[in-house]
Amino acid sequence: MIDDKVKAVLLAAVIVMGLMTAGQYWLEHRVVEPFSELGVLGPDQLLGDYSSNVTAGQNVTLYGYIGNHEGAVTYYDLRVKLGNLTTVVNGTVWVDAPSVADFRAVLRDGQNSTFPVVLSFPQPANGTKIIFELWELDTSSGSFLYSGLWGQIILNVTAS
Amino acid sequence: MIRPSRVGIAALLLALTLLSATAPLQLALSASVDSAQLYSEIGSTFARVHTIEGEGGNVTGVVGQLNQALAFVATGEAYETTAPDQAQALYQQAEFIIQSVNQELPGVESQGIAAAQSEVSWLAFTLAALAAIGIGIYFFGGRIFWSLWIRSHRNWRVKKS
Repeated sequence: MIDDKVKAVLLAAVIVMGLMTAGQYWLEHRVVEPFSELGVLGPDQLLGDYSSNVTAGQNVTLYGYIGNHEGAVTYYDLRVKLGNLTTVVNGTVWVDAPSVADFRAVLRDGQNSTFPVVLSFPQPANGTKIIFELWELDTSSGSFLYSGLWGQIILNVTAS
Repeated sequence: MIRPSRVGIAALLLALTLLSATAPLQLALSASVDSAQLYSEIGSTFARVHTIEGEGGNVTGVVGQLNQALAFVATGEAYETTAPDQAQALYQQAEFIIQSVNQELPGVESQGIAAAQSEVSWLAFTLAALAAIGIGIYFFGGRIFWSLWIRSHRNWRVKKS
């Protein structure tokens, strides 16, 4: 007959397999660190190919990128605002100004979306900020809350 | 400052017209809607979608439809001052989609609950099967092993060394 030690080893293997099966079930339903992404992309939809000088009246094309890794479907509102060098925006403070462009999207976990933003500036101005803020719908209050994610591009608008 | 493409709008309108013609749903559309009202409706519908996804529902289809509705509202907003009739048509299409989604959601929810229950049942079955295999090995492992060993060695002969 099989030795008791061998039986014990086989039983242990079966128990480990059971634990791994149960563990896999629970892990696949759990997001360890939920987060969202916001990116400001240049005209070629790449990071870093932004122009820093534009002439008044010239179109500036940028793209806003949103990625959802929250582990749940999320309703985003990407707000584009204008400011100057004194305009403050950070992870807790958003710009208290109306949006010049507004893009909304519902994204499932793992999904992303890119929005084109075409702006032009009629008057020359140094240090014009194009600010991107990401807001998320809070389902309990029914209103959008600032996610703390933001990005900005600083432009010098010169006379044409 | 945002310039929606006329070709894009025409394509969207055509797609929605085809959808409206083929959809079996009979939906009552309100006479006049505005973007704020539609955004509010999309927000409420999203809240339901969020809950249903949490219950295990597959919301891929309805999320796509909500984004389609959002695109119609955004395009309609861009046309509100220059072409109000076109804007209103786009808003009506968005309203139609939102109502369609709201009609689909109970089905998505029940499918999700059923899928979640079946997943839990499968897990329970797997664990029970593993436990049964373990018990089986403990009680019958030796007998099975040696009977198989004897069967596989039945042709062996012992020779004098």
